[in-house]
Amino acid sequence: MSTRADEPERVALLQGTLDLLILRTLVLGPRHGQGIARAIEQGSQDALLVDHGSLYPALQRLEGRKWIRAKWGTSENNRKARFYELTRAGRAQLTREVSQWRALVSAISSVLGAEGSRA
Amino acid sequence: MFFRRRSQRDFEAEVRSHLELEADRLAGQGLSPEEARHAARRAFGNVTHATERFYESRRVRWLDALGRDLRYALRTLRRSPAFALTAVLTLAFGLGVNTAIFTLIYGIALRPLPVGHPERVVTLFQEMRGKVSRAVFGTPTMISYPEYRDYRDAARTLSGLAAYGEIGVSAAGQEALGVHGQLATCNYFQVLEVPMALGRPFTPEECERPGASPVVVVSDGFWRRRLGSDPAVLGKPLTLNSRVYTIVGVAPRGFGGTELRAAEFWAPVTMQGQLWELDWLANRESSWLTAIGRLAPGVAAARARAELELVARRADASNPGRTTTVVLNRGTLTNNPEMRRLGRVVAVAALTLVGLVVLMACANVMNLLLARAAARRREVGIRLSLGAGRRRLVAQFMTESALLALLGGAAGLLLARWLPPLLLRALPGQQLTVNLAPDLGIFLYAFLLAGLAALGFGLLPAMQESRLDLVAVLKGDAAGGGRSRVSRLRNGVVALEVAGCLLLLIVGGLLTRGVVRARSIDPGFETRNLLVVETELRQAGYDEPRTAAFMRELADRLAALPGVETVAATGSLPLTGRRTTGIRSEGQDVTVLWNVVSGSYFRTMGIPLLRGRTFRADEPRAGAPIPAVITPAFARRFFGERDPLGRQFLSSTDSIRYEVVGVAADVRSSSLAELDGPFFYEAANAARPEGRLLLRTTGDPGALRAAAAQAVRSLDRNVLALVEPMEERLALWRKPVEVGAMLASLLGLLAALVAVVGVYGVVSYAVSQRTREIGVRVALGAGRGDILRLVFRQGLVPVAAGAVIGMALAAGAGQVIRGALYGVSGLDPLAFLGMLGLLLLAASLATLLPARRAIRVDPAVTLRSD
Repeated sequence: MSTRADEPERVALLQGTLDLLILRTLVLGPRHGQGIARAIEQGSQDALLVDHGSLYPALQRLEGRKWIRAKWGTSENNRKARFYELTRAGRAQLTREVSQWRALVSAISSVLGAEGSRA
Repeated sequence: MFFRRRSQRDFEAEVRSHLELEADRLAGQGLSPEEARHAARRAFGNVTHATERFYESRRVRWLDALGRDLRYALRTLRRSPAFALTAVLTLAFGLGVNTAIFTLIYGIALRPLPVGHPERVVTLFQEMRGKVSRAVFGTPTMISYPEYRDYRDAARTLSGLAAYGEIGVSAAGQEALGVHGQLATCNYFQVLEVPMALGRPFTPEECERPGASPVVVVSDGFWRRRLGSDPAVLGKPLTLNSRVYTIVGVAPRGFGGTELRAAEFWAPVTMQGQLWELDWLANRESSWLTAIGRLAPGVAAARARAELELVARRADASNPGRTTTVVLNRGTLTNNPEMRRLGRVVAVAALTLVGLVVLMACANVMNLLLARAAARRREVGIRLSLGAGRRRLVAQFMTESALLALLGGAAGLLLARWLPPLLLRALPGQQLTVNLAPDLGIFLYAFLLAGLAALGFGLLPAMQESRLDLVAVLKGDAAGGGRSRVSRLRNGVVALEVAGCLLLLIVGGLLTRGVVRARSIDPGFETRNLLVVETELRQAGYDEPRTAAFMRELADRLAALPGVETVAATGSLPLTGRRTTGIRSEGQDVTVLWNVVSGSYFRTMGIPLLRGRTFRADEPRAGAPIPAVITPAFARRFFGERDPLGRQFLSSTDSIRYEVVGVAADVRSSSLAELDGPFFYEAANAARPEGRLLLRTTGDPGALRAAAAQAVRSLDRNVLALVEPMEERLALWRKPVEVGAMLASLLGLLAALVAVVGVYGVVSYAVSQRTREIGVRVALGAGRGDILRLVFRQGLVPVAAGAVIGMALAAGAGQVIRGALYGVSGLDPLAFLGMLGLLLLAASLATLLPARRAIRVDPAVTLRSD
């Protein structure tokens, strides 16, 4: 079990990437808010820190754009929780955002790579 | 999102569930429940903040913001009451005049009829093309009684079809008077679903045989005014055109039929032969009835029209070469297609005109807003830098504009309530049925108009001012470029306003001068001590011999009244229209002014006889030429220098020979503006009398009114008599000009107010824009005079341009209305220069206020703000 001392260095999320990660997480099936936060943190081997306080406004926003929808259900340990799932529009949006992200990453890394070789 | 808005409680429940789930997870990792809860809370951060963000994301936010904007707008307006008042008044004028005209049009042509279920009431007319030959009383699109019966009997799509024709008769009572009524089919009140206030409507039997049912239903107004609101009026007699009718019903209050002119009584259509000089009941090819019906439940107008067309088709079959189209209109007070077409043109023209008035008012308020926004740049800058979104700022500005427009619209409604009845009263005419009371339609119109106005004057300033260059403003910089086009537009608007108001002011001034001139002109005859007595003998059933006897007897009785000097018979009255005839001169027909009078006419009218004699009582004599009295103008034109007395001339048909027996002075009888041209008086033939008598009185002619009416009544109670002092008759004749003068002046003054506000707006905007420039000028040594000149040039250049345009337009208008000016020149300097002076004075005052602000500019303050 991890202790504070050997906790890996955590990175705050870049603005705008939270939406992408939420959509990605929901591809695997409906989840409640806390589950989404956990999934993102575990998926990044705890490298990414999800600010739980900003998670819910983000969910609210995505719901407003009709990319996800929600209904109340019961969690695996029998607690009431609000479960989110992807809509068809959300799936399409995810595809768009993933390809945009890939393009951005490759562009940035090629810049960084060039700089690095000169140094 | 819009439909399933989440409640805040739902959101909070979700946050709670999250905290519990997270605490469960941490507890599973070995933390104590207490520690786990705290850790979950820590990881979440600020719960309140998240909830607030949720709250902000909800749509109701706009309502919340609207409330805030409204409060803020009220505060801002209260802080600048002068601005608020000016803007509201300007808008009240613009919106009010517009709504007033709409109210009139709505009342006349759009408003549902005052009957039961008016939405299903339709009127039926026929438009005929090809070979058509019909007798018409009213308009050609009206129908005949046989046609009405065909339509009524065939129509399955109508639950009922009635018809009516308008008619004027004389009713006897205390004194005979002319009343306007309708001949109606006996199902009239039932089809229109108008319940009787008293008594009963007509029964079907009353329309069965022509002339058999002398019954009437009277209107509420007639019952009150003429029958003294008698509750036991049913069964009492009412004499119409010398025949006695029985009153069977009183129509409800506010119902005067479905035409503009209020009906005072209704009689069965089958009484046409008795009430009219014509009997058209059996005449199929006549147009005199308006058919009005009610669509059966669930039937569309188009289907009913298709069915009625079949009836028209059958009628066309027996009239080869004719095609009839049935016109079915929703019932309003303007029903027949001709009137609707005309009305549409007038309505569009009037609404365009008052639309321009609204545009002018909007342009002015926009100028005021721009000037004010310039002064509020700092406030806007600060709000922007404090993070207010541009959309929020625009919303804030628009809220202010909407508030102004609503206040202006509300004030305008008052104007719209007061103006239309005044306009209707200015129209010559009788009792009208037009309902001008505001209803939902009018309120809706005023509200929409105010909304449009708010967009019109508010959007541009709001957009412009929220697009501020923050850095520049906070540094105290004046506005950037790109404004010159807007300011040119603004100047153009002011110029147009000035032109429009000057045009109205000058026309009003010209007409007023004309009215004053008309009062001071000596027409060449007496107008004061004269009483006019007119009788309507034909309606009372008199033939020519009886008429002659009646008139002779009446003249004798009137002459015997104390206070009456002389009595004269005349064909026409001076200044109330011209009467002409043709005479032959050197083989050519010449039209000259002409009147038929008795010999006493000249003494009665106070027209001096210059030469010869007037007519004798036994003239004209059979076989002899008809005696004529001519005027000097006539003598000059036809006899030159020769002595006219004893000379003869012929009418243009060569059938009548006249002999000149006297010469009477020239007068102004066709227009006060100038002396009449060639004029001759023909001796009146007592056997073929004219219906008009003129009495010269020693004192006030009004005092003899009752006695003269009594003289007519004592001869025959059924004869309609009109007794009126000549002055009153002339006043009626002058009324259109006086009303025109008043209206033009009033509108001109209001328009001047608008223009002055416009000038003020432009100049104060310019001054606030150029404050720094003025500061620099003062710092460089410019004196107060220089600054004043600068500001005045700014304000008065568009005014001068507008004044030139306005004067040119007024010069044109002056020529058009020349006939109403009584000889005052259409370029009357007093009206032109006076109104120009007035306007320039007002414009200078409007410039003075911002100018004072300009000369108070302290260069030290303005320049330090950099």
